[in-house]
Amino acid sequence: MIEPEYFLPGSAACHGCPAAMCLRVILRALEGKAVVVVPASCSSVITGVYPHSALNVPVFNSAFAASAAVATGIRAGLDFYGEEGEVVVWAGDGGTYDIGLQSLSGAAERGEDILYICYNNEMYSNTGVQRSGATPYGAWTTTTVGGKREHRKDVAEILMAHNVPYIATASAGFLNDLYNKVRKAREIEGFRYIEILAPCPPGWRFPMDKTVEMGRLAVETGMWILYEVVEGKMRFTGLSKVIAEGKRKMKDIKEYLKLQGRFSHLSEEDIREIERYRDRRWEFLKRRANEL
Amino acid sequence: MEIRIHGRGGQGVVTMSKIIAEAANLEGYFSQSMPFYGAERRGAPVVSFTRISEDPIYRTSQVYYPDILIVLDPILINFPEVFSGLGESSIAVLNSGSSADVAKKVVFVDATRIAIEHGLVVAGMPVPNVPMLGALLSSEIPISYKTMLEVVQKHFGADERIVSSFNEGYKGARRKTCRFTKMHFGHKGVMECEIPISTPSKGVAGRTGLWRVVKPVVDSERCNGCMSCWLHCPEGVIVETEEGIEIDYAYCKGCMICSSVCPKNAIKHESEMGVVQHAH
Repeated sequence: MIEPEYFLPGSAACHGCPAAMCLRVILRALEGKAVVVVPASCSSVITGVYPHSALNVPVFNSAFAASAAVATGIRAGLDFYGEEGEVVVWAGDGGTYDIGLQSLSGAAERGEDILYICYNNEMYSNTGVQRSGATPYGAWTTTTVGGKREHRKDVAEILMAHNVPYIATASAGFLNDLYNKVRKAREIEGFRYIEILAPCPPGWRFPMDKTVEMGRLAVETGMWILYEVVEGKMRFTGLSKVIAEGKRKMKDIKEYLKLQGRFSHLSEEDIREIERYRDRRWEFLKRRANEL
Repeated sequence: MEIRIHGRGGQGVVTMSKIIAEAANLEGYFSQSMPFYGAERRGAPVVSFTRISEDPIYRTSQVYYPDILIVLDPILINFPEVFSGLGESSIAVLNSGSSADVAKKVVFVDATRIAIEHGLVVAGMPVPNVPMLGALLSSEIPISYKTMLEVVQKHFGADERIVSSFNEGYKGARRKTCRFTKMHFGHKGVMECEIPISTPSKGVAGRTGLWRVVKPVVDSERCNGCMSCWLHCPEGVIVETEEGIEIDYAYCKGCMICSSVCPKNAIKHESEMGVVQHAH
């Protein structure tokens, strides 16, 4: 059962870090046969400073905006030399939703054979919690002190518009599901995108041992939806599938919100707005799953 | 006067440094406060520097030879590196229930206990900086009780818990003269490698077991070997051996996720607070 570790102990991740947790699972799913491109993010710090690296695979630290472009180049280099291995981008939501969006879109449109994984902690955690395009409505950050007034955008849906062969969402609360999705993505050629909800204890203001619980609650309350799109065909997966089929009711979103300090100031109206947004997203994705 | 504060992310090291500088300024001194940032990491060792002077301060380096050294975290007291640069006349202010031979003059108070008793706990971590600011007044710092309290209240509000924990730190601080031998630390050699390629290694952030506040302990009677802890451990410090589950405490940060995902409730919490034998 125990396989070799590719993420070595003693990294610079915070207590209970979902990025460390998920990256460890992903590298295991890839059996260490990966070249990882890490743009500016928590992960570029977590993996340590020269002359040491916490990852037992080749890593390239790229500029913030360039990760998908750098991965394209590494892929071309590996192909030229006839080397095997998966080129993986491991970027945060800052490097995916905001700063890296153009190179991501470019690589997806060109159909580059890379696996782009975004660990979405819904904020710029590395620099001390600033708002990103992935920050949800109502959330406190140091740059949205009274709570963010806009809803988040959704890069997985933007990638659907690129018609890439594989898109999946995952959560730090369901690591087996994440493992399976990475294994599946490995078998597919072309541009693949996986987005993981990564609850950040210091950024979201919750106790460090609740990372997994928070990742599960996000799915149980319908705030985060697990699905995959294979060659344009969409289907819900895991617990979200059970919810979509009506076999289980979504939990009250308050159960998810009240555990997080970043939502502690929300009014009843704010909570209703978040609920409405959640319902709209479900409607949209359900329609999409039926259509395709 | 140069001051260096050691602690860990989340204990209020940087805020403490700012408060000292601000109070000194109100007393009519020039002052300066600056943290040493790696990335912002709750739990990781943090250092901050404060300078107080009657003349304008032009030095902006780190503080290598502190006149006052403050240690906010009891566990850090066990690491001799923390006390580097202390001279014959330096004072150490420790968050500790007992004294340690780290400087000639030692001021100590159990600020963690005070913080817990007054509910100064953020996300499970006691924040001892307020009682430590009270205790700091027992060192030779040129700041009055009144000014310090005023700045503390400006930062944290006039909450009863803040004032009483500050007072308890002030009154509970004890001074002791200790046996002290100056330590010498060699400098590491300059890297000779030309191409900056890192190599995979354990402990890129040091022995991260030092970050622990709580320690997970496996109850092998209850454990059914499902390995959920192994799957979820962000650090990969859990291994399965013939005798059962083992945790590598050299690197375990004590996030306790293993305990939270254990279906058999077989991983117990054990406090890491309290001072062990001093290392030198």
